[in-house]
Amino acid sequence: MLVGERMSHRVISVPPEMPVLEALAMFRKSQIHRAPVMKDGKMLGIVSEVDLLNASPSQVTTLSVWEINHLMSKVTVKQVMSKKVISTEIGTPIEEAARIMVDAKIGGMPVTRSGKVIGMITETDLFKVFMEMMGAREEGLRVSVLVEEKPGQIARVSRLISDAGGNFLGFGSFAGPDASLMIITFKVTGIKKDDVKKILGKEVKKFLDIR
Amino acid sequence: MLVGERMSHPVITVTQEMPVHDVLAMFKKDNIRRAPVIKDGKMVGIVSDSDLLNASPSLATTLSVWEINSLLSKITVKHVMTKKVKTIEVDTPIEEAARIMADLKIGGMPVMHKGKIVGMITATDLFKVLLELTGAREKGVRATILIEDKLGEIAKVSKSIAEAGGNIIAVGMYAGPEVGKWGVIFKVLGIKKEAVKAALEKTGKKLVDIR
Repeated sequence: MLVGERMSHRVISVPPEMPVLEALAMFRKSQIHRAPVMKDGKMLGIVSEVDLLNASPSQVTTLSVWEINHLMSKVTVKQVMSKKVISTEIGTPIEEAARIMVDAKIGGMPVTRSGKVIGMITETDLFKVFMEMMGAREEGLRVSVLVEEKPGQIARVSRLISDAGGNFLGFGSFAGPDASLMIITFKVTGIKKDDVKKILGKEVKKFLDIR
Repeated sequence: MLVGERMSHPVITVTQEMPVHDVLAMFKKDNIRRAPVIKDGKMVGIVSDSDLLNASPSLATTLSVWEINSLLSKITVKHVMTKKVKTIEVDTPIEEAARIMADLKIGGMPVMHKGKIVGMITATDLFKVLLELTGAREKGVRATILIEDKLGEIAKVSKSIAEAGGNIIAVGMYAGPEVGKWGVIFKVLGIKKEAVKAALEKTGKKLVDIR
């Protein structure tokens, strides 16, 4: 799965001259937290809600409405945006986008193709991918087991379940409590709880959770 | 995989009486974006960085340092926190946390056990789980294939890879571009790209991407 398959296509951008207050109102109305700053089809920077809030007057100032309006009309997106934009290419694996967002501690980034912005990938998009992979929106039996970390383990577990008539809706493997162990979590239909226990009994160290 | 296994803890909390200014500084120092508000050991609300920023004076005001300080010392967490807190139980499946956060468009929530806060689960925690799920931090060959929505397909493919000497360290499934098909991402260690390709081609499935 690549970034282009799960990004949001709707790109809401702002011009560098837009006053900060106007941009904030737009962010609230469109329910977005960041937007690329574009001029003549080129991306100059990115501006986040926090960047905008940092520049806005708060309700606690003693300035009059007139003073605030006058001051704020002078502060534009250009003055508060980040010029260094972290972006990703449309053909990047989706998990690579997650890695970049974890490492840079950002909540979203523009997606580009041949240097042009064609989408945005956000934390909400990644939450959805995660749910898909775990079969979170599907009905079925959810099984979590602790197994030894050794070659062929995933192949063996999936083989045993499908030989018994189980059909996978989601499958995930995770690091165990130490390096010699791993956790496998999957969602299946077509097989009962007791049968799963019977079939995997020899293969797993421990049944962590079945529901 | 349950929320308790991948949440962040210990939890950094704040009190209602803390000035907004102090909490903002604390958030920056601890690199967090939200904190539960605690009174007498009980949670009375949650406060996020945008709640705090909305209440802070901006650089654009003409207030003197003295005026700002006197104003800010009077604004405390109590004035800006959200009283209705969405929480999650420690033994909830991790993908359920992703579902709640995607549906409510929130970036994190407190994790509870027997009515007490035991951790926080945030977007970053979930991204890390997604990285684990797809084996993104590991080297190896990443292959994506399309399979039919029927019994034994994943087992067939994983068996073929195992027989070629490959160790599958991650499997991720998602709804494919065609109805009735699944996309499956395998991360494989121990054999070269060409060997993975050959093993997959032997199964007759469509190879979407290999890198």
